[in-house]
Amino acid sequence: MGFDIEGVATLTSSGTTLSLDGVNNWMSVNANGILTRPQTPFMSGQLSGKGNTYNAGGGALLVTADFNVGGCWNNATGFWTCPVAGYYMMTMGNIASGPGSGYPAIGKNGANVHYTHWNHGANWHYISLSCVLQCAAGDTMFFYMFSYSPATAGFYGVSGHGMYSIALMA
Amino acid sequence: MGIDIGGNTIVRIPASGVSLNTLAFNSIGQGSASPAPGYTGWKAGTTYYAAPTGWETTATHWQSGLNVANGIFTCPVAGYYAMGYNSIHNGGQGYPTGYNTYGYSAFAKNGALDYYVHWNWPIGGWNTGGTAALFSCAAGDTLTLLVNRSPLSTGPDSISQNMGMYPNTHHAVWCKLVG
Repeated sequence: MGFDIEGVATLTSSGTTLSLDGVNNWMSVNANGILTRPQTPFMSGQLSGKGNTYNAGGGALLVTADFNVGGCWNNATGFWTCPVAGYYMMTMGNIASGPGSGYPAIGKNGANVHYTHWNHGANWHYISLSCVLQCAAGDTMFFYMFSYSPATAGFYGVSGHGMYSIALMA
Repeated sequence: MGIDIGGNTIVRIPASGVSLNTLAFNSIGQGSASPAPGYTGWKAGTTYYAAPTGWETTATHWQSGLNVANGIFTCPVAGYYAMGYNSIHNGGQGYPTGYNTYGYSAFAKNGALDYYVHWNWPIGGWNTGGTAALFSCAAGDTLTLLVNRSPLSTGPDSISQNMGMYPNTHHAVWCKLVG
């Protein structure tokens, strides 16, 4: 027999489960003390169907989500909207075209946060970028690219060869 | 009506979500906690730098536990900490005969190198790179990013050969308690 709090939190000898809607598990601590939060906002995806090189014209990269827990990622706009205040990890990795150069970046609320760059004479160049951002509810985040040359320079956008992800860490 | 422990309401009506001290959930179960030990930051500057004793993360988006003068983060509690960085590195030039052509970057726990990577692209080329790792730490342990700190006892002399990492928001260094 367990201990019930208003019918939403249940403490038993096999662990603790929290759910206010009675359907979805919000947070659990199992019998070994392992904590999980299945409703944590999360997305991971890739560029798909965007051509051999893709830069979105300098706008938000339209990453196609493979997973979109919480529905915070919008495939059509390339924006993530934070549902709650917290610390969000963003990661991006892809191969960038050569010969060419450019500045892959992470943006928040329309402004640049961090960036890196490649300038490669030939062949593909691997790019990665990540950070953890403190956000308020309603903040928006996106991946993009600026100052690329030539105009066709960009990431491989057919499918695979890269990964983009965002998750609420805490 | 909720349940109160020591003055903190830990369960509220569903529309308001749940608050467990600093851990709060909204009405659909998306939870976050604060404060959060860690940081995301960068070093201010205009050219590439070495940092064999600690990359001076002098500017931050947010931080708790970071010494911005020397880039050393001190873990406030025991736990697992994720750490990462991304940047461009100068490939160096003018190596004297017999000297190493590699530049190194590394994470150090309590001053000792735990993980390191290197770049080796000659004659002033910029190398995109970075790495990430998880650390098991005790309270009081320190985590640091080092640049041009060689894991070799003989040393590659990479500082004098103009190897280094580029500053400002052209790079990001981050660390976060994750569990």
